[in-house]
Amino acid sequence: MKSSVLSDKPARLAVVRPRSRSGADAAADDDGALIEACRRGERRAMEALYHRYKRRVFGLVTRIVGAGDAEEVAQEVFVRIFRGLGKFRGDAALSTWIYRLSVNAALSHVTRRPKPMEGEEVLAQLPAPARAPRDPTLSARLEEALAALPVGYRSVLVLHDVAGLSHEECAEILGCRVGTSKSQLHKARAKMRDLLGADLAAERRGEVG
Amino acid sequence: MRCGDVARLSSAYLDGELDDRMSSALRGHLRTCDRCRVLVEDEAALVRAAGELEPLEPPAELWAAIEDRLADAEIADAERPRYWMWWRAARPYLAGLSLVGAAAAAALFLWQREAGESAAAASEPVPPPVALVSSRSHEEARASELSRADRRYQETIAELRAIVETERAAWTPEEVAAFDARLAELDARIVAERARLSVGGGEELATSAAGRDPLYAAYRAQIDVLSAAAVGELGAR
Repeated sequence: MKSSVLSDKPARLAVVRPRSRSGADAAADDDGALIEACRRGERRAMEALYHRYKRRVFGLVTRIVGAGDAEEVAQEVFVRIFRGLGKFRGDAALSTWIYRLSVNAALSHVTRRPKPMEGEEVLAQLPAPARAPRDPTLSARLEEALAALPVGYRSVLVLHDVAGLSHEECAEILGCRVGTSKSQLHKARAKMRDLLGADLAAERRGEVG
Repeated sequence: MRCGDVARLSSAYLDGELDDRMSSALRGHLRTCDRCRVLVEDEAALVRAAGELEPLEPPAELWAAIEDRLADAEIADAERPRYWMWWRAARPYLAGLSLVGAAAAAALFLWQREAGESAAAASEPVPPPVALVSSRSHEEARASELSRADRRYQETIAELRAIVETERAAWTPEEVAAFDARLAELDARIVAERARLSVGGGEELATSAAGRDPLYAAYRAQIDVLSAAAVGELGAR
């Protein structure tokens, strides 16, 4: 019988965690009534729709374009949502359509502005006082590493791993094939492993929360 | 199962996309390979941490800012030309008819525009009788007619551009880039044709109707592209 490298203890194995959709299945019927009210220009319905999706839109946009431009882009997204509801045909979930508008607006914004630094230069360029005292949690370091990813990798990782969407949803939102979404996510995760090597090692040693 | 296989399949394994046998083979490799075990555990930690990221709360004033922008957009809609209102009303019936629809849309748009001009002209007061013998020569009349045709093409293109501008917000960056490239190509063709017809290098164009055919063909090609884009047929032409 083969023994693990760690002789007297069985090798710890990563657990496969089933993905759970974070979509709005339960609220689909509510969305329909809300959409109709918004199309009639009812301000209370529009504000309700805004509050229902504001965190998802703002979170996605912030993690793609960065905190500095997120508010402007989020405004643009919601204007497109309300001005475009007449075109929403209901052949996709409202959340998927909203995510698609959010990603398109974020990517348009990124391609229009001067190309930012990508890769480890972003992390290295942070001034020392901003990095210490540093929130030691992996999640905090993960946010910084996300900002350093190429925007294509960042988009799919935010949609799949952060927002919890399926590859089918990611592919529909990003306008690519499911296989492309999967391969891009795989590369994004590998890049994140490179960027967070030291933090992951500390996590393994139980040094961080 | 080898280390290269684990590196390639780690994401699929963590996302539950491998079948039972492949998953078992991968786990079997992890039992005997520390390097791969660390790789997969690190990726699992990243996926877990990403899923646990806190939702980001937008600033409290974001909704007020959105309302202001919507108000500005509605005011801008109210100030658009009448042809835009006609176009918006006709669009749902033309969308989805592909190239035939786009051509019909362009023809209808031009007809409606000319009908509007005719109605405007019909409503003008009847001019007083003029002398039967006009002092305008045949050449001047033809030049005037060609100039009017050129102006109407350009005005139609400008109005279609304004309509398409309202549609662009919903396009993907790739669609915007492809459309802009096609439009730039046609712009260059129009500029080249106008330069070829230019009299003395100025804005005045030669009055040969036949000589203007390539220019008018370029105008019509641009109208086709713009009218197709206005009904959502971005892949047309």
